[in-house]
Amino acid sequence: MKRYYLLLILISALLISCSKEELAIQPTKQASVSLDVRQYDKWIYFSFLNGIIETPANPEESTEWDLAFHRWDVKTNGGIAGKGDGSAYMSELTTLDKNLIITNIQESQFKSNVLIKTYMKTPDMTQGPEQRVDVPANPELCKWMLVNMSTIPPGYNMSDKVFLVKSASGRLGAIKFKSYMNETAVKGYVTFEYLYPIN
Amino acid sequence: MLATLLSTLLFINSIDTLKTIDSTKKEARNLNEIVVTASRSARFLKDIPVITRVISKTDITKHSGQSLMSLLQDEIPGLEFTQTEGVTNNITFQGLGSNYILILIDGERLAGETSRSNPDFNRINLDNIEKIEIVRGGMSTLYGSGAVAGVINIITKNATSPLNITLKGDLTTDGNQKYFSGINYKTKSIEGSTNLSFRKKDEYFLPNNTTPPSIYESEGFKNINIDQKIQFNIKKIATISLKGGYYNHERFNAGDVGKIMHDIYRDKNLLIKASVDADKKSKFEISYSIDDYDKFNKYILLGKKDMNYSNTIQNPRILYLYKDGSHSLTTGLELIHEELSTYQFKNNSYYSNNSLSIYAQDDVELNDNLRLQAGLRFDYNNQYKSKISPKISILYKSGAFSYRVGYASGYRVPSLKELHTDWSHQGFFQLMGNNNLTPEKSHNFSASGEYITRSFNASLNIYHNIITDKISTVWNNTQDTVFYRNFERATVSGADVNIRYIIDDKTSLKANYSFVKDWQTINGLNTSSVRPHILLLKIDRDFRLFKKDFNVSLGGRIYSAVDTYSVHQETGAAQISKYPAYSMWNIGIYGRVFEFMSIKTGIDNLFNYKPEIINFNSGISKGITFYISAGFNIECHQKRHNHSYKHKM
Repeated sequence: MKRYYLLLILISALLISCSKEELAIQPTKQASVSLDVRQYDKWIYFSFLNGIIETPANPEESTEWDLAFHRWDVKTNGGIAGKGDGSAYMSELTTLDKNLIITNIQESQFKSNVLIKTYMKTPDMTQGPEQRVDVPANPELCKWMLVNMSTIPPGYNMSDKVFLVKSASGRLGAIKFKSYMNETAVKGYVTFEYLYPIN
Repeated sequence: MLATLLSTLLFINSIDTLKTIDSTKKEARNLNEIVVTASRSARFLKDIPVITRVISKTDITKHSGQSLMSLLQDEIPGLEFTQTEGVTNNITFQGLGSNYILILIDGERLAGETSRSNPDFNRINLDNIEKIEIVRGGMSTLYGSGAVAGVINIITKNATSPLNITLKGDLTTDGNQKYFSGINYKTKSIEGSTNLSFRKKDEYFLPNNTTPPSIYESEGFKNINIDQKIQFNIKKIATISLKGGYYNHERFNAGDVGKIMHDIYRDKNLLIKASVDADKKSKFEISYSIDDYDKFNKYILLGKKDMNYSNTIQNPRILYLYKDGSHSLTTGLELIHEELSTYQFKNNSYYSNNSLSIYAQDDVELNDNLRLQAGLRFDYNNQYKSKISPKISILYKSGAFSYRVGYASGYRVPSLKELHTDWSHQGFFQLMGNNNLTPEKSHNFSASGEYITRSFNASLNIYHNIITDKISTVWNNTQDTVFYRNFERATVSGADVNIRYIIDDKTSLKANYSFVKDWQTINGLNTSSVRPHILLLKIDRDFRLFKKDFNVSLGGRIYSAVDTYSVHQETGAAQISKYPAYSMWNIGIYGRVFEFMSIKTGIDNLFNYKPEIINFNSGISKGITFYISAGFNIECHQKRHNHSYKHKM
């Protein structure tokens, strides 16, 4: 019987020690979010922990956001876009599997933002190519959607890959894009699933 | 795949409407053919002064395709379908688009459009067509707005025996299926028909060699057609007929959009007609038709659908037909009332339009060789006030030769869409209607010469169309709005040569060549994408196998190349687009394997044509396609002097 109690105590102690470890490393959350990115003249800011957030007064100085979306453009909070540690890359994985992500992660692949040319002058597309402006965007995350304008109507090709993302705080997350339309087939709604944080 | 098709066919115990291999001797041209379109009443084709072509029941029966569109392309020189916005079918005939071709079913207008003013060709069930009459040139005198390049009148089947039951099934290896069932019945005083058809096309993807490479998404669809017709014959002097139809077309994009939203096109139509012989010389026809065409978006994830378009045409008409000696007079009084509500109007508003018309046309036999057709129409439109449209055609026959010359004035009133649209194209630009538009006017000149013997028929037709005040879209200076304006003058000229040669009693050859000169130049550069040369060829031969009658045919459509330019309005900078020549060939066998069963099988796109770059007028195909069709038909014949029925089978 004593042996039995001893075993029980030992197991309890082990469990307690595990719980302490887990508290130290926040549990990974899997969720899905849809963003309305139809307007050409603004960014929509997103935080892995707090979801969609109000546009910060000074996004370059804020660490409240992790990702921002403008139509099919995406930026991370880091480098020329913000003072966080954000970066990202497109992996070869196609499922949001935490264990697969951890075993396949390649630190050297993470890229920061660069300047791209895009339409931001008016809320709709009534603007010519010469009116495009330079904005920071993450070249890896922008691979999620390739729009082919050589056909009528344009072809939309959404990547089925998992994107690994560093948040503003530098913690690892993973996202997989699900749709670029809402339930009435209006384009300009981004839906993605994410895992965050991945430790 | 073929084995699957065959086993499926055995399962459905298929069909035949393919009853008639020409058992009579072949003729280069059916001199006793009766047509109705050119005069709104029955006339011998050989005596009609306007240029008319008939696609016969036999042509339709032997046709390999499943749609009206493929039939028209195979049979009518100078007619082509292109793809608009990747999904719908855009007709071009003699260099002119859908706005200038009037498509009728049993002489009645069709409401609704798929895009660019094209009626919904899928609503017309190929298995329920008796024949198609194509009258070339301006026909506004009898048919009003839009009959500029010609009229295509689709005549549906009528009962010809006491009882006729048909079942039919068609399958192709590129994912098309069609099933048809029909029953016709006829007694002394009542005749009628009920037809039900289901048609399905699978969606598919094709790699497209654009720069950068892309994927072409071909839509899929499901079609249901129900047609009901009943006619009461009263003492051989009057008939009262009712015709109703229902059509539902659900189509879906092959790509991501198709998983979220389907388009539903739906039509309901009704025609009531009473015809009374006033005396031996004159006849009254009073009719009322209503055609209601609606469109819906069906949201798959939300499980609901929203109507976004509704177009209704109501058309009451009184016709008075008089025949005395050498004169055959057609006079008419009609009202066309159209209503349209669409998502392209501000706040889904509703607009309507009324045209009241009176017209008269006389066919005069001046002597044995010379016939004249002359007509005049007066329209009063609530927006455009009065409009007069005259026409005159002359036929001169001499031995085996017939010569026809004609002039017709045509017009097209601006559509409600062109008048009232106020719509943002996904934020890229605003499309604006223009309430100050005036009707387009057209002048059509045509001439033809024809040589007819029993075994050889050749004809040459030439035409010249002038359209003034043509309505087109223009950009504003800030390049954010496109609006409609009357500003263009367009001329389209062309010619076609048609030959049919009966090589022997079993073999015939048909060749149609058409040439179109579509003048749409900016800075001397051609901006038209109409292909100038189209050649249609068909050779067919009857043969017997296992004591059964069969017919084998080889057909081809050959389209010439065309180079077209897009010219920037302000800078004049030009960009060339090259559309290479291509051809589509088919081979098919049709035969009655039993008295009650027919089989049709063959290969479409025989030489596996696949466009290098898929675009709106490249022709689109998955490549070589096998098809098989089987029909099962039971007909009861009425014996002379009694009313007993006999099953042919």
